[in-house]
Amino acid sequence: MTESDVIQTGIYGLDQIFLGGILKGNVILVEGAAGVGKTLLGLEFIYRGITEHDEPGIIVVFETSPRKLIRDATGFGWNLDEQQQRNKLKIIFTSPKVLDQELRSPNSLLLETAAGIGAQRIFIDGISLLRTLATGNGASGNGAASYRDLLQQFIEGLQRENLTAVLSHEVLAHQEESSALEVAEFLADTVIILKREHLHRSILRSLEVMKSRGQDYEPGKHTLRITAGKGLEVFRRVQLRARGVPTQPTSEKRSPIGCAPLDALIGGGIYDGSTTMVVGISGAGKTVLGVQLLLEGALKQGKRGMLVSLDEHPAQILRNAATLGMDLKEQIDTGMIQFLYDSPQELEIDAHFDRIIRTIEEHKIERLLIDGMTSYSSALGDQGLYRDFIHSLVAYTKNKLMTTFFNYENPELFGVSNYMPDFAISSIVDNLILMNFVELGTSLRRAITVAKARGSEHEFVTREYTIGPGGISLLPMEEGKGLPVLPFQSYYGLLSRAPTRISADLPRGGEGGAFRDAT
Amino acid sequence: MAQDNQPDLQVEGWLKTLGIESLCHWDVLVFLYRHQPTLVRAEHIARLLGDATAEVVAALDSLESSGLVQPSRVSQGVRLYQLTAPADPARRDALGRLMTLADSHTVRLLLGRRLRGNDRPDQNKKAVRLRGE
Repeated sequence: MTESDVIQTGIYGLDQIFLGGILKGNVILVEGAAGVGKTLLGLEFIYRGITEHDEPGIIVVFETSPRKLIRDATGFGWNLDEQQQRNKLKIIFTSPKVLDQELRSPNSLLLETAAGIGAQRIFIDGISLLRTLATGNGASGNGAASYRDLLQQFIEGLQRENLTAVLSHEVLAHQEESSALEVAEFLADTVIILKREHLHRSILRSLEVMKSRGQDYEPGKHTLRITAGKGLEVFRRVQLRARGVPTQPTSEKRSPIGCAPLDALIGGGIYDGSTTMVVGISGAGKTVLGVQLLLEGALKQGKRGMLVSLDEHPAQILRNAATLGMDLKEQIDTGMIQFLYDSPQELEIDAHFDRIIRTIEEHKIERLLIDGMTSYSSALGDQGLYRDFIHSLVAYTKNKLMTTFFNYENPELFGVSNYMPDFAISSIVDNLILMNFVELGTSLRRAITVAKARGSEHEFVTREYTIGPGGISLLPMEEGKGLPVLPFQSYYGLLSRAPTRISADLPRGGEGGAFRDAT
Repeated sequence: MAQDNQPDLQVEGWLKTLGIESLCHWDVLVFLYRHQPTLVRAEHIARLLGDATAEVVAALDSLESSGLVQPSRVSQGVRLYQLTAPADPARRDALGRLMTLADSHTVRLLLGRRLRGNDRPDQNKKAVRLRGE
């Protein structure tokens, strides 16, 4: 399929769903209930055709007045009046009967008008009204069969004129209408289903391609958004595997995180293209470590970064970084670091994923910090969707050999009995860093452990760290001054991850436990 | 936005300039303005407006002969009706100003008042001559 074989709708994201566009000359049926955006899709198809591809178009309406269409289009920034004045567009009000006659007539005024402006696209709003002509007129006396004949003749007429047509068809509950729709679905080359569904108290719009003759497309329900001033936006569903991606690349190169002792702990920095999960309770310093990673990349390695947050607004993160002497704002101002904030309320994950990917592509991002995995899990409330999102993001960033940090807020104040108590996805990341509080005497101290580092000889020790100017710093290990390491039999409470050394004064038990004899 | 408080005399003057003489005439003009170009039979317009076909046909003929509707050939009984801006500046100006009132009641009310002023017994009859014409 070459570029000249397809017609691009120009609707954001829709051509991507059709892997580049819809085959020229295809009759495209857009179906859905009232209010799903059928007319809008047809209008945008015509408008983008004129303004982006210099393909004039015709809009045929049976019930709506052209003036109202023009008014409504203005709300999306589409000046249809101007296009009519430029002779690139004609909005024609007619009846189903006249349209049917006109498409069959060799002397057609409609087709003469279309030819007059060099129309290549046509949008007919409300094709289901043709059904009213068919009832009782079929050769077999069967309404549906005669409608089929009528529609077939109608489609033939459109193809004869080499017009790529979008036909909107309303979905109604009655049996008669649904069989009419089935006929239309069968005869059309491409069928697009638009839906508007309730999820709890919110509305989810979706677009699904049911079929498209002669070409492949992305299957499943994709997110559809209708935005004033913009129009339609289609977001490929996040679960889909990327197409045309070769074998996943792997890098031998390691890069510093921005904290030398931590780099040493993890085995000499992290591999480019690796993913790291930082697990810890709120206040442990996960965001600070992530900002360090981004600043190290931007300032010392010339790597552009991006911070994605559902938790904290940009101003707050900038302020907090500034209090630690970390000039994140300057890097954002120079464009070395991008900040992407989305509200977790009614998060549309397909649209959010698209925004992340678009920003990465536009700004050539090499380091990514996803700050606040817990907000995703609570916003989505669906384990499958959450996993799909993380899997897709990991797959994408690995293919780009990006360095990615995911911050996960673990609810446990001390120790970690479970890396991710809600939706566990720690198995898909390469590195796992634990940041916890440790209570010593009356003070809370901070401890960091690298629990996992794929392909690295990382140190399996827990180190103390502080948060201060420049970010987190690991306190030095004083050689020879640590407590002697004793065998497990010398402790009790091992499962608590806070074992206590058994006092030398206590009576010692035999094999199996210090207190067996005592109890 | 349409102006509902347009002085009647001005509106009357614009109607006179364009030769709009009845409610049906006005309704057909507004219909064509909103639906242009329209590819239908006159009967279809009459059905949508709730008028008699003969009156709509007469109004369409009148609009075409006065140069407000572009002439079109007939295809299987159907014509393509499209408004056109008159060459005469005064008529063009009158059309433009009246069309800003297309969504308001001003003109229909005025035509209705003329109907009552003429003491016509059938107030629902739409073909009403303006006073003094």
